Amino acid sequence: MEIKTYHKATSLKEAYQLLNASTKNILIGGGAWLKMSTQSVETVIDLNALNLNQIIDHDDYIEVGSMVTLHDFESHESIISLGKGFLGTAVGSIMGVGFRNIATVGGSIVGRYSFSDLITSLVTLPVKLIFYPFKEMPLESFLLSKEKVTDILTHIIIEKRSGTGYFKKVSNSGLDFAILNVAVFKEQGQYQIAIGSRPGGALIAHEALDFLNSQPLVNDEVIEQTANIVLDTIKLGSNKAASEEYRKALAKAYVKRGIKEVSS
Amino acid sequence: MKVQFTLNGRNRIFEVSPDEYLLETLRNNHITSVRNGCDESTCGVCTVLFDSKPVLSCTMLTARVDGHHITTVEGVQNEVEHISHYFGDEGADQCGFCNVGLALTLHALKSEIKDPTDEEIKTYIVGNLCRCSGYQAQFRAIKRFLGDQK
Amino acid sequence: MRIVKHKIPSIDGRGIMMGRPAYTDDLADPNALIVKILRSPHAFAKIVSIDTSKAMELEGVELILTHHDVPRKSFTRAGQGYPEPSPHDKFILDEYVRYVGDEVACVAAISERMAKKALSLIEVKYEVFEPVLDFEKAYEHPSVIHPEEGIYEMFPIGFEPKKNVAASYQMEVGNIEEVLKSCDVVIEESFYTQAQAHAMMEPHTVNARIDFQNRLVIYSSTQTPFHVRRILSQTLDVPLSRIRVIKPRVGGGFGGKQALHGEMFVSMVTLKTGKPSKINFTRKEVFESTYTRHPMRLDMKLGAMKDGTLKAIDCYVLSDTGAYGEHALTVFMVTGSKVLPLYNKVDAVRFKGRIVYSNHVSAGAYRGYGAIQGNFALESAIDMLCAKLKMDPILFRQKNMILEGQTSPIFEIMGEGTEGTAMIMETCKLDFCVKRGMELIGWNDKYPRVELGNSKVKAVGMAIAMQGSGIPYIDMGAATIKLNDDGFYNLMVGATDIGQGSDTILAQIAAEELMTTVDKVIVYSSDSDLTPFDTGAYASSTTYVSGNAVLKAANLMKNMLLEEAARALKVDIDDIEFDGITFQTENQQITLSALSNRLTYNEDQKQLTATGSYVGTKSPPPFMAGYIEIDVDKETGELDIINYVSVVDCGTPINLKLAQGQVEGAIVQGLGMARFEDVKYSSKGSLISNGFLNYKIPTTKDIHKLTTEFAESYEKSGPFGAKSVGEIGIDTPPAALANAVYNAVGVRITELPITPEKILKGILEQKQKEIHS
Repeated sequence: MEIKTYHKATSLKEAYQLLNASTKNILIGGGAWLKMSTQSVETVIDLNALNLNQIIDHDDYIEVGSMVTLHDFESHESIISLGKGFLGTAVGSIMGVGFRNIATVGGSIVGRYSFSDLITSLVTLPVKLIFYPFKEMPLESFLLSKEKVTDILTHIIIEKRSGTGYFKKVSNSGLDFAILNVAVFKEQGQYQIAIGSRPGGALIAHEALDFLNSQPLVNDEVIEQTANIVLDTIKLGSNKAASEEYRKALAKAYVKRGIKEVSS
Repeated sequence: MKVQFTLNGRNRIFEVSPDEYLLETLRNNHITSVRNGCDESTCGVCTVLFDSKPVLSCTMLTARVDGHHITTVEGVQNEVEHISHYFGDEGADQCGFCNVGLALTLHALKSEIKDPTDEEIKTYIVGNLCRCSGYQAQFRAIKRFLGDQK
Repeated sequence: MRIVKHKIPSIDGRGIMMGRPAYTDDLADPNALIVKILRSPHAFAKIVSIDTSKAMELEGVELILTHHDVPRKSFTRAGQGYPEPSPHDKFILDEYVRYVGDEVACVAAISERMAKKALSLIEVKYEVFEPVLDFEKAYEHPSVIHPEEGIYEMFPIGFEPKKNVAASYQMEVGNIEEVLKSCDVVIEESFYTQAQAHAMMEPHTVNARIDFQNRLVIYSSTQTPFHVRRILSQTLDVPLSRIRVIKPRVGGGFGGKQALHGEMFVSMVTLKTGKPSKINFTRKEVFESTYTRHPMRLDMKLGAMKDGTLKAIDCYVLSDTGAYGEHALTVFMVTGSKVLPLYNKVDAVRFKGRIVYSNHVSAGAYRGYGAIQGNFALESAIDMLCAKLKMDPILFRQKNMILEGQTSPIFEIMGEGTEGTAMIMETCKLDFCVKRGMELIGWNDKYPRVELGNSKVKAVGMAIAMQGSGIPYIDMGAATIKLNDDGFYNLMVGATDIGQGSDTILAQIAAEELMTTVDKVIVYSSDSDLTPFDTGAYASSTTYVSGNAVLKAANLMKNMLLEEAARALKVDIDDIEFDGITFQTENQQITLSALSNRLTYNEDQKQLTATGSYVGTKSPPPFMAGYIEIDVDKETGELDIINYVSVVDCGTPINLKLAQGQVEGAIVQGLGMARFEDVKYSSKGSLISNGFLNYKIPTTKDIHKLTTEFAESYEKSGPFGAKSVGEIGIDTPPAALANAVYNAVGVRITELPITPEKILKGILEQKQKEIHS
């Protein structure tokens, strides 16, 4: 990426004005993915002086600043204790620690990366995104919207839940992108299931959950049926990493295993 | 643009381009211990410590470093020499190209996680690729190094 | 032995970890011009016109070279002994471009930014041809990849460029057709191996400068500094005496640096401008524009009798050498010569095939050098034969494999590009390796499989392998030992340390013979001016060939020292006892330190140096048995490698830890080829897997347990009984894994890599078959 100017913003207002002053101005989180870009930009706006790198534990929710690095996120006690640590497992499988000390939670979310292990696991929890100037949006809505982001993501609000989470990243080697991501979360008999890296971005399996969450008893048959509905309703595709057929077999196996694991 | 940060304990000012990465700045200023292994933030060879945390210097814009602390092996010579004893003992230092980045990562691991499990160690160093050693001798050296720290 | 066969820390690990400048780019001239290459976007095309005028106008651009500006003399980039068995089919720059990433023009500028900008301003018009992207269709394809004049073979290797053939070969022992007909059981199968990337951590790099004697001095990350010097001299028409090549520390080679990469370009730039210059390959360029392993199709036919006697091996190989023919014939020959002798008692064996050009990245030398490809095919086929015979695969191997004291006619017939050398296996501990490996993996408790429940199954698989130790009558290594005042030595060797630790183990050999310690033997290696000749780090030659040279030199030095001590003490040489530190007679003594000071400053002053050279008269193979234990998930095809056991006969391991490191590193590299390393081209012929994001090599999380042991073995012809250990480790993993997968789920995978998707596909296809039958 070619950059003409690097500007360290001193206020959100200043950053917002600069961002919207030209289509050639961009925000960076950690800048972890900049090298992949061959773009030429005018001004890169750095938000590091705006105190957005805190994780604050409130009574009912966890407030995560958008500039919190992935490694700080996965290491924080509040995050580790959520859902029996499945968020930490998800984030900890992203590249190496040298990368995760640069990449930010905000950057990963705004990028809407289809292979994102963070997004797939996070979307099974009640998560709200806070943008400047004032705008709030559930994470799932943000993922589904295709609009270009012209506001600044400042905080991610994760409602505390006392359930159990499961995250499986299927990949060939320890440092690879996911061939498929499967996340399951269960709290008091209510499940959430998300499939990511399909190769498309993370989707919540609503139809399958409508079925699963209405069952009085979750036995092997119900689990099998749930997995089948996932296959019928969540589009899986082929790319150079894997074929559609293979992804289907993986989705079926790991949705079943995920449900079983969070139910035990 | 001018960027100011402490490098191995010394306050330094560098004249850099806005799109210049820390790796380039360091090598252009004679810190030859920091080297390039790949183009895509994937190998860990270029690892340095940013405020004591391991980061990929090829992925961090120098402008971002303004006001912070950067440590390379030149700044922690005693500690790295100590680590090198374990690697030499296990024959874990073959071509050596990944060793510098790995030593800094280990130095950070030692401070960050007390009594790490095998799984935690591997997760911490997984981003430091090695093509020579097959990782076993490295892991043996690392376990003994961390064990002796206790 | 006090030093050899011990675990001594390397002489350089500490300094490198502490960050000392050591590698090629660390030593580049700080004012070096930056050289960048304009690369072809087409897999096969001709440059119709090339206009560099706009680029030349940029301030800071010093020089641009196109095919109009370079000598029209073909050469081979392959680092091999002269005359090379590789065709001279490369020009520095040509009007044809033969793969996506091939060199079109060379720019030298004062900064990287300027150089990149200049590249973007060069205007090229191409005439695009239909590329040859399927090597099975390359033979006599209408697109002739090398239609140009001025290319040739150095001696007959079957070079037929008009048919897209770089080389071909055939040999037969006995009458294969007859013997196959007489066999009770015959199996036939085709195997495919992929173009593995070396993925060494240090990208290719080289820099050049003119020194104050007006000589061209090259610092290159290379495995073959002396070959580089010769090839530069011959192609650029610069006297050999005016060129110096130095190899600094190298961050891994594995064969990927056993050929020229950027040396021609920096040499031309520096010679033309008089200024220092350097080129640093990006990782993308390393993948796309250096070398790969030769992908192959191997058609195997095995014939045996009901009682398990292997009678016939028929092997046809089609090898893809890519755009240029470096190492084409020799890798091909090793596919046979270092695999087939494993089953030396057959009545007939045939090995034939051809190596074709294609518009892929050029294939070249890579650890194993054909033996891993051949091993995958043969050792998989052997297990297939055992299944058909309903015979235990270990019993079958024990019955048929080569043993100590035996030979194979193949040794005499097949060399590397030329005829081979007959030899008896003076050391071959395969029988021990096979038995010991069984114990270590727990074979009897696990073979073929153990159901683990939860749709998981555990299984074991194995393979045996052999390699070589240098190329007899061709590879020469030499060493010079110099005595210093204070009684320490300089050891100058041409031998090339590329990270395998040759500097350390050669110091050990010298120290053992001179009865001193490693810290008193200061090694300097691989400088064409200051060190004696060595062909370079390949063919697993360093320990055996260069080691023998060091031993000879040390022995000569020891005798010289005894002579001088005798003179100093005025006694007969036979009256002296030397323990490495002191020369002792009945009532006199002088320390080495005192003697050396005397020789330097006081009396009988002279400089003692001793040079030893060695050429092998045989290439005693190291052997190994590799065993793998895997857990397979039958629902997803995923597998965990629980343990890989290697029992190796490499003769005496000179340094126990470094030898173990060689084996383990090679095993993991072999497992990478077996499992993850997937080479993918687009339909237009550009390499998709051109970075670590898309081409995965094993990480520390992928390896659970490696168990490595060495057999007790002493090869008399080797230094202190050593053979070699650099390559042997890479050969067994693909076949061992394929065999284990078959034992686990009954799926035979014949095309690498063995991915979970392929395994699951095989499981599902089997289920279908069972339903229908």
